[in-house]
Amino acid sequence: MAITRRHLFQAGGAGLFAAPSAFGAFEQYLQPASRSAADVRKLVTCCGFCTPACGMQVTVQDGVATFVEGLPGDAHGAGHLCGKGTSSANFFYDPDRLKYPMKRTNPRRGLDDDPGFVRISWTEALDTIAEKFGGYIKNHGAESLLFLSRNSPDLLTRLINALGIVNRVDHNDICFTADQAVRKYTTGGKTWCEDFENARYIVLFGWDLVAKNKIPAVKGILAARQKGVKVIHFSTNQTATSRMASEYIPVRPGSDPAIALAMINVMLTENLFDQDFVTKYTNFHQYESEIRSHFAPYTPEWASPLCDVPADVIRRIGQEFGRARGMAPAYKKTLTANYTNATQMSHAQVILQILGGTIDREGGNYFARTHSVPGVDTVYPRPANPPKTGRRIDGRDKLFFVNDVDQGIFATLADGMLRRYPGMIKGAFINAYDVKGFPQPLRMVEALKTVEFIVTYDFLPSDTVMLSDIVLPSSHQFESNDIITRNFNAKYPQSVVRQAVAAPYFEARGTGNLVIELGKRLCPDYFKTPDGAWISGSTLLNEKTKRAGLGETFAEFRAKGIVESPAPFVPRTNFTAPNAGGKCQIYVPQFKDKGFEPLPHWHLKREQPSAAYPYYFVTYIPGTHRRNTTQNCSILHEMMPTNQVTIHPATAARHGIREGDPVRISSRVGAIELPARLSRTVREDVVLVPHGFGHRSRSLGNAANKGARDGDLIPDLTPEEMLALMDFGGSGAIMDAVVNIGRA
Amino acid sequence: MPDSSPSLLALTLAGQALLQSDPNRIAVPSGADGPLAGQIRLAQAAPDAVTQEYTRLFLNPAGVECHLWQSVHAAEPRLFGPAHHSALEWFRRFGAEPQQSNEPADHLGLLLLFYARLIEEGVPGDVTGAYFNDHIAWAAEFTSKLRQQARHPLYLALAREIQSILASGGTQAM
Ligand code: SF4
Repeated sequence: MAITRRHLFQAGGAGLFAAPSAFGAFEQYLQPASRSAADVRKLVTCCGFCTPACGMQVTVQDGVATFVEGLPGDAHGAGHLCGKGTSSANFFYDPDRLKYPMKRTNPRRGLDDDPGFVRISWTEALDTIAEKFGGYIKNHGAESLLFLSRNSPDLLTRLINALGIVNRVDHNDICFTADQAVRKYTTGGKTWCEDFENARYIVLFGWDLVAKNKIPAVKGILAARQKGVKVIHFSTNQTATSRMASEYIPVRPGSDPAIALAMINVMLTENLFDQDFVTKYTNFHQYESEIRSHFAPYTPEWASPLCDVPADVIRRIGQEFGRARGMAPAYKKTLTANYTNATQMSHAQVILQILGGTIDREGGNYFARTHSVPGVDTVYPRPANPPKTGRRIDGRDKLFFVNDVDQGIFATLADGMLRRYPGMIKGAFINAYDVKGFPQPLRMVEALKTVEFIVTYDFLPSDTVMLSDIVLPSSHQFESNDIITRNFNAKYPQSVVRQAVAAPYFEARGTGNLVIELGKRLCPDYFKTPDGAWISGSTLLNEKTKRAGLGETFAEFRAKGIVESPAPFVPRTNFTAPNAGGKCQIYVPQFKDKGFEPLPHWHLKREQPSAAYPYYFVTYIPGTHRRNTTQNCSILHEMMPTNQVTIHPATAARHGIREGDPVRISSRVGAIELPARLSRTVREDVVLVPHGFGHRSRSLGNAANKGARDGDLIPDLTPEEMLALMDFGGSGAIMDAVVNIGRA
Repeated sequence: MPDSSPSLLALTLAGQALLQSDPNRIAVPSGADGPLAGQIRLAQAAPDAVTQEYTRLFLNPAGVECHLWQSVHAAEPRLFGPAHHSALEWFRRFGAEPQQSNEPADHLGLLLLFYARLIEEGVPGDVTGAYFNDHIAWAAEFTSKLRQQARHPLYLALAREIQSILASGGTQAM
């Protein structure tokens, strides 16, 4: 196209605005340009998909992220991004993203009912939510509200506490509850950083952290392997982590506690543990006879038939681990964290770490050294919170230690809403959580149908959105400002900026803004600064930045991108388990005081193969996707558009199933159908299905109706079952099922 | 490319009807006739039905029938894709920018209003023709979807109007 300056400014230099347009509409929607050429810049931020928060460099053209790459020199990503991080821009610019607040007009609520959404303003949405929620609290008490969240940032927690909400469940509760309950009373807290680079021996239970693309972990394990360090991977199926390990040892699903118990037995029997650490920093000697006699029966010979690992292999690994003072990272969760014996496994795993002398030691698991970024309650002290009274819909009050770490339980929620306290929940606020994240998602749909008023705040139109009365569009990491303290390679404090590389698009809003606006309406005294002004997200962020020593203002921190405060690693000598005299606890008297087991016992996971359902069902989150949130992203969809069922060829042959055949997989609570993929990477007694697929929301252009929901096969739980199974840490139990298969 | 120019009124009304869900906020010049102008006037008496239909067709979280943005009709559908940048470049070459910076520039309504202005300002036919090819011709796919999905007469009239714009547009102004 040849455009001359005459064309551009033919009307006296003012271009198209020199004279009014014929009908006045042009000026209503377009304005004189503020610039003549594109504004292109590179901005530093960090990935928001998972916890390493790998550093990113984003090329931004006129406020639009056009290219995403790793940030050279960044200690976490080392200049790399995994497939998810690289696809961030495609995720962000998904045409199906929610754009404006909407309200439902069709009172019939179901996955297949058209909600009849109409657009409303944010003001109308917020006023309606405040009126409804305020009314429920007044008429039915705070117990009538349920807050379900992917995470609970400090402002949201302030709102929840100010309203006296007792029914809050967030994503942490799936993966970490049991581990947190155990850690509090053993080591005093989370030792989630792994010093793989300096490890002497590594034992990994289950979780496929390499395929999950946790870049810092992958880097660490590679470095260890290059140094000749042995890496053992116990898993029910061969994964990317198995391939990177020196030894992959297939195990029966849910049996890893037996291996851990037997390793402890070997270390104690042969005195292959870190005597110095154990003597100085643990309660071992106080309870030595109880500990030794407790673990005596858990021999490798006892464990072998339970886990299908030869006794001599378990013994050898126990010995090698003990001699080398190895590390056995919990790595957030193990395979077992998804079963009802997770509490026992977490406890056994912590004991392995303690006996190896690797708690907060180089070459082991250590507490993250982070900048101390204050929460909103520190920056702006609040009035006293109302007492939290009321019935717990998830039954967590029956599990002392879950209550104690202030976590919730996912697997019991539908049971609470349908059986224990039907009709109690009147209003629900769902922050980006899809029903597919639950065991028996259709039961959760039925539970949500009993709720009078549902608000969903999300980025994409999930299946939960289709059940909602008000839908609010959330912003993405590219539209948000925050301080991210790193908790992977955190031997010294490192904070990275998360900055709004783009302005919020359409009418998306960040969580902080939403919460402050709800707070103003529902509990105004809690959302004011000491001088009586409303709390503002940007002022709060400036205060946090300053108090954490990251800069005078957030803008200054943003200009720096990453702030590192290198300091020598000083191992901890005083631990914070309650009433433990500064020591780590192997034997936990507090567990005993509450009627639970002070040392880990062997318990079978709940679901065991039977004649009707002879196979273990195993699910996993493929490295390509982030739980059930990224299936609609065009690049990731192209890489993995749907799920399949992986079956061992011998098992398939018994059922006359060939590669690609449709397979019906059934459990005692449901059935799904998926195409077969035959592979020797799974045990003959395992049926393997990736999680995250089976979206039904038809507005997800790529993901709708692709694949099947793994959760349809997984029975949910009751608090009574958890107690009977000694699952007192309230595990997620999001994988515990047995199934049968047949050619569909 | 078609060989006669669409009317400024048709482009302006179609552009506004795509940008505005409330028919009372669409300016219909007195004396304007034609099916779309007639339907907008009729709808102004019962605007709620139009607002609901607008949401259902273009913004519905339960499934958008016709996406309003050109980039979403590309081989790899996305918001703020190459068509957004190209539209912004076209607008800036002529000293204009969208009022709303938080929405993509390749909204069909904006593209039609800009096209009308180029024609009205007497920009040469080769230039408007290039613009037509870059940013209007794609709307054929949008229009056929709109014709299939629209339930309200205003949007059926709109689909027909855009179809005739596509058939007659692309050359120098009348
Ligand atoms: S590992 Fe991948 S998804 Fe996780 S923060 Fe890094 S780039 Fe993002």
